Amino acid sequence: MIYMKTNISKRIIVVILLVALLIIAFLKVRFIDNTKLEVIVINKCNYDVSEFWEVAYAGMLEAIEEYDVTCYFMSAQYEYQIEEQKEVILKAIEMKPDVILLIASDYYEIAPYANMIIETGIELVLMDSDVDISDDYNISFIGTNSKKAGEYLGEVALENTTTANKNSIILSHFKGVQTSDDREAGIKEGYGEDYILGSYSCDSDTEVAYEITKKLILEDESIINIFATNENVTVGAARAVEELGLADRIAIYGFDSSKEHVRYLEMGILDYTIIQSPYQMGYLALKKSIDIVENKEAAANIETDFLLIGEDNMYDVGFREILFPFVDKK
Amino acid sequence: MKNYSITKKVLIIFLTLTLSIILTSFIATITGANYLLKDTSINYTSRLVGQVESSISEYFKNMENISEAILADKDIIDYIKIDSDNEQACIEVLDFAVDTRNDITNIFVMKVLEDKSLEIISNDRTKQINSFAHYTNASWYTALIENGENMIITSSYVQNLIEDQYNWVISLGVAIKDTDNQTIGVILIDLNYSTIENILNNVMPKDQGYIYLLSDDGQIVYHPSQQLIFYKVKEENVSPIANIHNGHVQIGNRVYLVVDSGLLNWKTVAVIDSTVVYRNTVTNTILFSIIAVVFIIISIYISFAFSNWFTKPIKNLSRNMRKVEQGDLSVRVDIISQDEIGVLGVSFNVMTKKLESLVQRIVVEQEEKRNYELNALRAQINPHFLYNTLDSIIWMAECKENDKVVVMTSALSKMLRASINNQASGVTLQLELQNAENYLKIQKFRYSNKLDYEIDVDVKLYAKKAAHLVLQPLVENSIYHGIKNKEGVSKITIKAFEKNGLLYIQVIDNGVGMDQEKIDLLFADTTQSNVGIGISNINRRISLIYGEQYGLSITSEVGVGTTNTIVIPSIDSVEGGDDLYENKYI
Repeated sequence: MIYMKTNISKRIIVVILLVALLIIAFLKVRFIDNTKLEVIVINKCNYDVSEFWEVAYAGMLEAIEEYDVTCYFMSAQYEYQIEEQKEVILKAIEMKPDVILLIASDYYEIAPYANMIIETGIELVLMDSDVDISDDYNISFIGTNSKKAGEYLGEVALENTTTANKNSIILSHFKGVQTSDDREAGIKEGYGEDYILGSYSCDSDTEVAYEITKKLILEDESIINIFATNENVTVGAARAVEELGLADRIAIYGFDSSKEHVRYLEMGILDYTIIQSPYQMGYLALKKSIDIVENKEAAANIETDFLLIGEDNMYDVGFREILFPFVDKK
Repeated sequence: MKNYSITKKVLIIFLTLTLSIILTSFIATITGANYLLKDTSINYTSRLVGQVESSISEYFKNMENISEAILADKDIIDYIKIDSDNEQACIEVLDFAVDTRNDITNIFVMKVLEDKSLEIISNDRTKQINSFAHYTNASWYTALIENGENMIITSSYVQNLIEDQYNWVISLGVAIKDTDNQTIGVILIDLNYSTIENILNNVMPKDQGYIYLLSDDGQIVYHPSQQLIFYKVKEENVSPIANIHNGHVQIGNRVYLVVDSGLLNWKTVAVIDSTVVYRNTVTNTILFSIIAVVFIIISIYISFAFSNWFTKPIKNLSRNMRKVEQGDLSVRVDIISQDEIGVLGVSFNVMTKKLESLVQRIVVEQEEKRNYELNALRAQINPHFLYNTLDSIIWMAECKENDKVVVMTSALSKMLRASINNQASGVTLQLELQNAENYLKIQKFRYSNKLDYEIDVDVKLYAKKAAHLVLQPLVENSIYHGIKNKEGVSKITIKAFEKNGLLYIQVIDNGVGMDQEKIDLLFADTTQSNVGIGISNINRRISLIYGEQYGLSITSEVGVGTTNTIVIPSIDSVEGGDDLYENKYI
């Protein structure tokens, strides 16, 4: 009988242990996975520098919220501060995140630092601006195909230029910056390189663009089209044309958007502007960064959309939403 | 199944029963509870959407009240109707109205000019009216001025009436009409888009679903992921929803709950992931599953315990049966219950009890049989010997040798007495020696010129126990096989000694001796032998009484003599009665 008793109590203990194990296993399944993925986004400028980056930032935030990851935003103040971006990259590498989303401020200068990221084993995803790294590294790039966008703008300009004189100039924002160079190359291809009298780098500065435009269109009265490769340059060119009252003579084909862009579009000074989808770009880039680490997704290039906006379509459904993003500016 | 043990059979039956009961009730409960939970979940969300819809409607009714208040203001009416030059007064009215509410971005009062263009004043005197603004395509313009409607609530759109300001708004427009029912003025109240956002955003936890607004013409008025939808990163399939009025539909794994607005030309649509609808049911299922698992574990445990308890008496019985098989008849089963197995146990006990007594009886009978045999042996006093002795006595009597007659008769008498003395447990060595000596005395008369004898035993050994009637037959053998056929006087010596707890009794003669063949013949069954009491009988008796390791051995050499040795355990006789008895009759 004593034997029986110990046997029963042993079995009861076994049963209790089994039940406890089951409950623990059940709870564990629910509470596991408490380490969040870490992403560092290194931009080439502060997000409040332009509306483009503000909206891109909102897109990234959307992805961060949706996928519940930890994200650090680091950047130099302005796009021309290439040295500062290098330092930021080194700092970011020290933080050992899972993935770095890099918006390079220079195609060549930043390349060794991008290599450094890859070599430390941190996943690298590029957005908006490419860098000069070997094709052996399979790196995702999320951004608009700048050359294609430029080419499209050039074609539109050519279509709208009915006069025999097709003399035009290109105001690029930075020689050496990939978006700038690609857009310029695209425009030349789409419009015809022969009609381009010259291309001028404006340091991505409104003032510089304004001055150069003013000088050039006063000097050479044959210029009828101005291509501008980014937001600030477009605004600078438009301001010069507005000030000189030459809207009837000169058409501006620009890039990006801002309040000024909208105003100049309404005024008829800016004829067309190509806008990208910074929101889409930011969202997709961050999503891709997460997918590469979390779902072991293969690297891939994602081309984000661009849209041609003119006075006639700016308030249309599907265009107005991108031209006037619903970004909370509180 | 047929070859399984009873424990296993009981276990399988019990387990099948309990598990099927548990599983059936588990499935029934889960199905029922989940159906209820799903229903509750959808009802709850429906109510939620209804509340959202009514709070939005309520909101716009408030806006209408504001517009009515503005319309009631004399300055405003004057401005539009009489073309008075009191813009500043109007702005103050509007400014006051906007100031009280932070959900209104702007209020515009517009005078319709003859070419259907508008003269616009806004509440904000610091801002310019956008002179480049195109408004003729705006929905409020179409509705109020071109179509002559009295009131409109627009979809969301970008308001471009103020310079440098492009806000997403939803507008409430009210037409001011003259007596000919012609629209002469418009009051446009722009509502901050984020107001709607705020109303809708916090209604539902983000992970459960979202609410969006869909205009009757199938356009999204508000959507929490509006950007992503316009960029085609996400999709919102609105076409099937447009046909649903106040109801819900499940498409794929999404449940859409639609509430039509009475006031507005909108639908309020809640989209919930069906996993959310089923989330409670999943928790519920998990909870019930845990309970079921616990019950299953308990039932398995009970099944084992039950089958063990049930078959324990049977196992106990079979264990005891095996003991019986191995010869232990003393086993008895504890009778715990009065059921069939208990009855079986009782029968088992009766059976073993009977078996045991049977075996005991056999043992007793065997003992008796042996005693009979002994008695028969004892009875075997050779009639020839008796006849010869009596003949000798007669002969002595005729010769008047009275002394000899007395001695011989006495010896014979003692021998006969010894033979009827039934001492199954044995006698003393002394008695046995006396018996042998009596025999020798008698034979001495017959073989006076041939036989001499000597008894050489320590008196200390007299009290030792000895087997009854073993010495005399040996002496008889010695005489017949050793001395009778030998020329001259032969001697028989009887010796006894103790060694290592054993008692050795020897009958030694120096007669003709025997070869091994003859010894072997002696040890063979000689019940039919003419030699009287067989050597083998003595040997067997000793073995029967003391055990197999004891007995008789004979060594002999032809021409030298024979030595008979009996080995028995050395045991002291407790009762000395035989001697007393003996002395009495000598």
